[in-house]
Amino acid sequence: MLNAECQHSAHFGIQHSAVGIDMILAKVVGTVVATRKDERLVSSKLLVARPVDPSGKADGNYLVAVDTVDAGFGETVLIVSGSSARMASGLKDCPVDAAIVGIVDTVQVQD
Amino acid sequence: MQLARVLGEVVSTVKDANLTGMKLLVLQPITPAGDAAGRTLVALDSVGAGAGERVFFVRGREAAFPFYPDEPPADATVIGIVDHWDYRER
Amino acid sequence: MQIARVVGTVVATQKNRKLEGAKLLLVQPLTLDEQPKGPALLAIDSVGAGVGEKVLLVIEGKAAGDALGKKAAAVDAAIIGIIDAVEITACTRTRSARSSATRSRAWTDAPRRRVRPIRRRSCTSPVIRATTSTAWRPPTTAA
Repeated sequence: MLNAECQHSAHFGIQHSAVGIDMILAKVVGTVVATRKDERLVSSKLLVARPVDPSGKADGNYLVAVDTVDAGFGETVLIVSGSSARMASGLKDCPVDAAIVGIVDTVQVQD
Repeated sequence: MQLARVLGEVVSTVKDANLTGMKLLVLQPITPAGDAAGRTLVALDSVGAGAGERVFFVRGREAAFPFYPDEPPADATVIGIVDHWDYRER
Repeated sequence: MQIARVVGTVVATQKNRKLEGAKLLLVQPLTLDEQPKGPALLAIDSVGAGVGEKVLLVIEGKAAGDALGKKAAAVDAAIIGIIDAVEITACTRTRSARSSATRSRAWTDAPRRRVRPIRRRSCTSPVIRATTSTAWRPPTTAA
């Protein structure tokens, strides 16, 4: 459950597919450990996140994203997917399609 | 990319100018076991595939890359003809 | 990215020129319960995965082209890692609001800080992380 504080429209973060082209809200539910991976991903932290709607309810499949803001378990985060994920800090040439770019303090939705 | 079976061709005289001279194929995406996996779609052909062949295709913006420097308005292109595949269902 | 299992290999002699030399694998995307999710896909292998292994799959054109190492390649999926473990925590309590000033720092190339311990003491997560009861000090470097 999220408390209301910063103001966003009701459209913010709602989407129906795990990997789309929007910026979405998601909750961190786990981590992925992969020793053998592309060399550009070495020292990247990979988190499993489940998209949520603005009220905090799980809303879709999970996805795995690179963490650029040191998020922890259970936190609600902002994830950007698609080729825009490579614009996240430190991911310029990384072959990734989802990155965590912010940790959400609160979401306010006005119906 | 996804596996598919070529069902046939599409003939279209009136179309976008960037599609002139392009071969359009009707594909049925399939699972490795050979079953249908989703709806049929129309894709451009970049390898000379024919009806009945099993191919693989790419979706999205990358569908225009085989025709570089042309940029046909495509969202699916056949990029290879499959010789065979090994599939082990877990 | 998604988690997938490698279920087979594909051989195709006649294909786009940019795919020459590329290893094509059949992967089945999985849910967190390891059930199949959607149809099996073909992906470029850039890490040497074998059949039966669980892998990290990226489904995005530019990322896949980077994994292949070629510009403007007509590929949209690539394997970018072999998964050792996936750890899912059952803890879903939300932390209380904190000031945005402390949470807006992005991960930079600055020297790594200490690993933060899990904050929720009642969390029964199976994941074990390093915690320390003494204050962190930067490593001393020889003069």
